[in-house]
Amino acid sequence: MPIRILACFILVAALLAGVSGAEPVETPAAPARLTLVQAIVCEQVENLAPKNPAVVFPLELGEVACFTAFDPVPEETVIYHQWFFRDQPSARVRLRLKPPRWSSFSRIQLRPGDAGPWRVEVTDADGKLLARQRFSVVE
Amino acid sequence: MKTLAFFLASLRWQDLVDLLLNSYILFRLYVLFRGTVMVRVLTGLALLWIAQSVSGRLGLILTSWVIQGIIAAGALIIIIVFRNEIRSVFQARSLKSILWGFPRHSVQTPIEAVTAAVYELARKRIGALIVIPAEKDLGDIFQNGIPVDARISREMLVSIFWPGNPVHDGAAVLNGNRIAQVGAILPLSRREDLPSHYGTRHRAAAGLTEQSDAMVIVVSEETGRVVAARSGRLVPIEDNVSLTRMLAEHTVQAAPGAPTRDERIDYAIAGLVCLMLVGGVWFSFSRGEETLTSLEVPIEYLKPGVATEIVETSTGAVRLDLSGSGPLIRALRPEQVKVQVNLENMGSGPHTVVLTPEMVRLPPGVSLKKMTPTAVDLTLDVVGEKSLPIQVDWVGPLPKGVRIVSVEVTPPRTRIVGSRSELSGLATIYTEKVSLTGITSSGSLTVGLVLPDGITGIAPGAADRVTVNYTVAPAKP
Repeated sequence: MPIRILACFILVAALLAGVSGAEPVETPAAPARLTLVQAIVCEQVENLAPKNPAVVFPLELGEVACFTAFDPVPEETVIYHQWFFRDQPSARVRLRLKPPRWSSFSRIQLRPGDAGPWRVEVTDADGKLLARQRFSVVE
Repeated sequence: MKTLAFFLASLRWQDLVDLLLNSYILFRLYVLFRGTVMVRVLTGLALLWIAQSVSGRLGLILTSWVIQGIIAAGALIIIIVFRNEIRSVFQARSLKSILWGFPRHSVQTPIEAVTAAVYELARKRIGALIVIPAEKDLGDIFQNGIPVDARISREMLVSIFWPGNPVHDGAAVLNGNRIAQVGAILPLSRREDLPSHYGTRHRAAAGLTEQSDAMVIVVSEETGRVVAARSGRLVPIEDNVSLTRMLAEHTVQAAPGAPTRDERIDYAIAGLVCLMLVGGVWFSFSRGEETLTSLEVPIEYLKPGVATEIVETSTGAVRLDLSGSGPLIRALRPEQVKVQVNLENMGSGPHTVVLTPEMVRLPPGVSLKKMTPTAVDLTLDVVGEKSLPIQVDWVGPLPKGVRIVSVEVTPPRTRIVGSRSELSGLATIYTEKVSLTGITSSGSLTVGLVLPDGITGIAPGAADRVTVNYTVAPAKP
């Protein structure tokens, strides 16, 4: 498998926790389970918010991002964004989540030859599938 | 002698059946078309074919080519020109008579007309001598008659024996419904025990019937009495009923279905010629000079297990070196040769199958010299079914100013059939490529699915086409 991927990454919440809006919110009773409230593929992420969500992206865009939001996050944990191009694994990004709620995203750089059907799967630390998003990259 | 013994020993029972069957077909064609012009034309064509073969062997290229052209055109012309004869033969006969039996073209003698004529002659005391042949050809016994070939009628017979007629003294010879000859002089009997009142006519009747199986009717000029002669015996006939019965008994011997002796000889010769002709053709085809050829033949795998499939083979075809007579090898078509490997009772996993001559199916007369490779490696896997999500395979370019924000596929999944190993690596089934050109607003379309390599197909009852509903929104900067 050619090395195509790129740095897909991660600006994880951990680095931005202090300046972003992903700050924990005090709740009277912490829920017991990690809950995914949003998973979306978009052109980019600005201020921890997805911009221009879609299912078809032109190659000339240069990158595609997958944004996920969790609420609540009972305890510090990790999740994975696994990117597949035509059913073949392309990248796997490890993202850290912190209580009480957290948003994070990963992105892939698009190169010539990346046109085609893609999907990104969001899994928890145990590999359990939380969400699957499908999209296409076109010339 | 040794060569002949070797040849006979090498004959298979199929060869004998082949020879006899085709000889019989040819013979039946002869029997059915016997007596028609077509037989003569076909004989001519057969002679042309022999001439073409001989000229080909002798290297007379132009002659061989010209004869070949004539034969090809002749075959076509025969069908066109003789279409009526062919149709009448096959339409007028039952299947049984086409396959069996010997049709006769004989025509029955009009007995009533003969009887009426005989008794009119008797009443008028006019002497008469009428010969009704049976199977034996009378040409060997007498040949001095005057051919007339007239249709039999009472008036005609009476007029032949009318005293003023120049031929009234001789015998009239009948043939079917025709009077073949008149004025025929028959051989006289040398018997001395004939009654003294019998004259020359009676002696002639006895003489002919002693030497043949014909029947002769005599009308006495003096007494007007009628006598019938058969096998040398002279039997007085009392009335027309007796004569009619006797004539009927005599003519029934030559009824259809019972070939005459000459016909039997004719059929026997025809049968022999057919056998020799077919034998010659068969020999030139199957035992001619040995010729070699090579063929690349795909291997046919016969049903593995019920739920097993071939997922990999080391080769899909084998090279066969074949030999046989020149005509057979030249006429050989690749589809006539098969290499079949039976995979029954083979489980999943890798196997090595040794290819044997028994796995090669060849047309009769062609033999296998060599097979390459001699073994094939293959891997079998269990066939299974898997449900997979369907994803649209969009192809660009995306029109300016629009975004496709959502896509819904109906149905969202389908089931496919294939080997377990192939299925395990699949997570998605993609649609055929869907062009984005011209998409500027939301809509829907129907599109087929693309099966990945190695997949047998869509499961029975599962979707092989889907509806795609897409939502378009304006692009944001």
